[in-house]
Amino acid sequence: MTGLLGGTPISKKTQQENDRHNPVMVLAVLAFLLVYIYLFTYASKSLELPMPQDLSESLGLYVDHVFDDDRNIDSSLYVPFTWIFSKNDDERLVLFLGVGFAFLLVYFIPLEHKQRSLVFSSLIIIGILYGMEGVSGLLCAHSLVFLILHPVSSFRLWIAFLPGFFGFWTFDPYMLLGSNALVQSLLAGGISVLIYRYGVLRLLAFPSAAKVIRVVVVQSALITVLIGALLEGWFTGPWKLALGVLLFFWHWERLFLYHIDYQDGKIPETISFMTYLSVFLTPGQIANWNWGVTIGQGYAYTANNFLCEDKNKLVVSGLKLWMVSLGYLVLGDWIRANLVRFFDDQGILVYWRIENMSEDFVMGSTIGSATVLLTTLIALMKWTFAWGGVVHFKVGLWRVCGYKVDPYFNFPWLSTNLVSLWSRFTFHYREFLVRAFYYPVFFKFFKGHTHLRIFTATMAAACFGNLIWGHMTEAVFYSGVNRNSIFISLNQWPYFVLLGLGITASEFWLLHKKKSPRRPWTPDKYIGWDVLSAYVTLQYFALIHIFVYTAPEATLADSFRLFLTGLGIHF
Amino acid sequence: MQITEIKSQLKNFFEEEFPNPGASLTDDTNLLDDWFVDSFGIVNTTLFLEEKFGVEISRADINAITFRSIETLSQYVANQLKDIDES
Repeated sequence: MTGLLGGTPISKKTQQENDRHNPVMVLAVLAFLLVYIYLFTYASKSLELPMPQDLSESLGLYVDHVFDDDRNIDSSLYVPFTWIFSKNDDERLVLFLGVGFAFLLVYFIPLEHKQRSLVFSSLIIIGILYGMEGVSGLLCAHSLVFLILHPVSSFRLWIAFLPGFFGFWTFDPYMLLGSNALVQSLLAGGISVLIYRYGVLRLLAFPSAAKVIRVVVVQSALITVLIGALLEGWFTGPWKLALGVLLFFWHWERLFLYHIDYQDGKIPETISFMTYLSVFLTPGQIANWNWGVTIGQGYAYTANNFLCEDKNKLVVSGLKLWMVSLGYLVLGDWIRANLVRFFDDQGILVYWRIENMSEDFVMGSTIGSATVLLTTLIALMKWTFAWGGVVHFKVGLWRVCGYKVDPYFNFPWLSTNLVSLWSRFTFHYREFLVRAFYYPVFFKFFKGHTHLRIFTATMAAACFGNLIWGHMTEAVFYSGVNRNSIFISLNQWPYFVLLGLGITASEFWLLHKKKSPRRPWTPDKYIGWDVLSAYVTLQYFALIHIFVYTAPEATLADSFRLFLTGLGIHF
Repeated sequence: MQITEIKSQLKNFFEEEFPNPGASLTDDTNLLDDWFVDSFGIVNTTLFLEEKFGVEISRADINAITFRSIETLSQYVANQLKDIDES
């Protein structure tokens, strides 16, 4: 696994050697972007070219579940949280054009400016898609984090101007656009310099105070979630986050990883603000801002994997992922619909969504084990197509821009145990949970008690960290800072417990199984076991999602009964 | 303990625990790129190092530099053992 433990430092000389231009690669990337533009935007209509559905039909291909009402392809690849453009298709067009601009810039600009160019490109794209609110909120929050974590950096007092200045523009900037607004924002910047110089810096001089402040900054998203829930209790209304702050909060798992790198001494003390920003602001995150938020991890991963091999080789690997992404995004629903139809023809009812099955079950319908197993498995396929299509585009974009980033959804169907599945399914998120929760527990508690140690560390990561720091916080950012989002997440606890127990059992099995030189999927007489192991692994993972995607009226007992039905135990 | 002995024991462990048919494991083989399948390999290796050599491993030591190869890992163990002897 290339990116395990974040990779090793790479020299400037090696990066320079890997920075050779190849015009064919440039044309290939632009050609791919044109395909994306053609399929997922209105560009063909504007240019009076045949729309994708017209083209398909003129070739005699009449496929359902691929095209939407406007005759192009609807896609789970979209830009969230913005209403500047009236259609997702237009936002996607901006995204693809912006990606093309960012690629050309980072490809041809000299090495020392490459990562900065990605920050610059990202801010331009974010500015167009999210407006001043988005850019200001991100710069305000990140400059604040930078000043707290790196108080010895040069230009710190200049940078201290940014939280106040951009903070002013973060909240309702269009209301503030008056003659005095610029003067007021400059004043706010000046005040933030004074607060930083005479308040924050003095506090940071005390090691214990500095530690607390750093934790508060790094955990600001979770703290906000909890405070928001409390405030809702007092004021009976959900708390609306400013757009830029919300965008920043989606960086928080990567900020957590950055902080771990910081604690481990992997970040240079004199890191510049632009280098810091290059960890967080890259075009690879803009599509589906809230999906695959841990891709890129923290400082060490991005620093060690930038141009660590020939950039054209990276471009090719990125384009391969874009190809897979296109396949998933275009054909995912069509494959799923045909599977559902196939099983229907065989007399096996398969639901389009787990929630629908849960709802029917609660209403008293008789649901068979085959229905439960196939519905959950096909739902897993749905996420793989939808989510995989998006994150392959994102990881592909990171690679096209020069980063050797490990894939998400790395052939998950080849996993023959849950440890492997967890790694293949969501590599970067798994790394977050392992580094933030598994290792700290594993290296601190129950040394000398191997099984207890592994069990505790796994539950800390897959159950506790995954639920509280992963799903609960994300659910709140999706649906609003309110208590209900928190309770809905907490009610999903059996999923996290069963996932943790499953992974623990796999770890014990890996620890004690008889070692064999045979690798899974070797084409020999044992390959049938690999197929069976892979099915059991995927089916278990799919089945436990019954506790996540429940009908609103279903109780925990209903979900357990449905889960047991899947295992062939009927009540 | 001599560093050659540490290397030998590590090599035996990796070949037995994470067999890789057809590939040869040398002192400089990149363990993270070419040998481990997933992060449980790191956990398993940590348990082996603690049990076999009696070294105390901290979270910060779990990094790509220490775990890069048998060479770097055995150097790390040797340094840890030296620290134990001196204290």
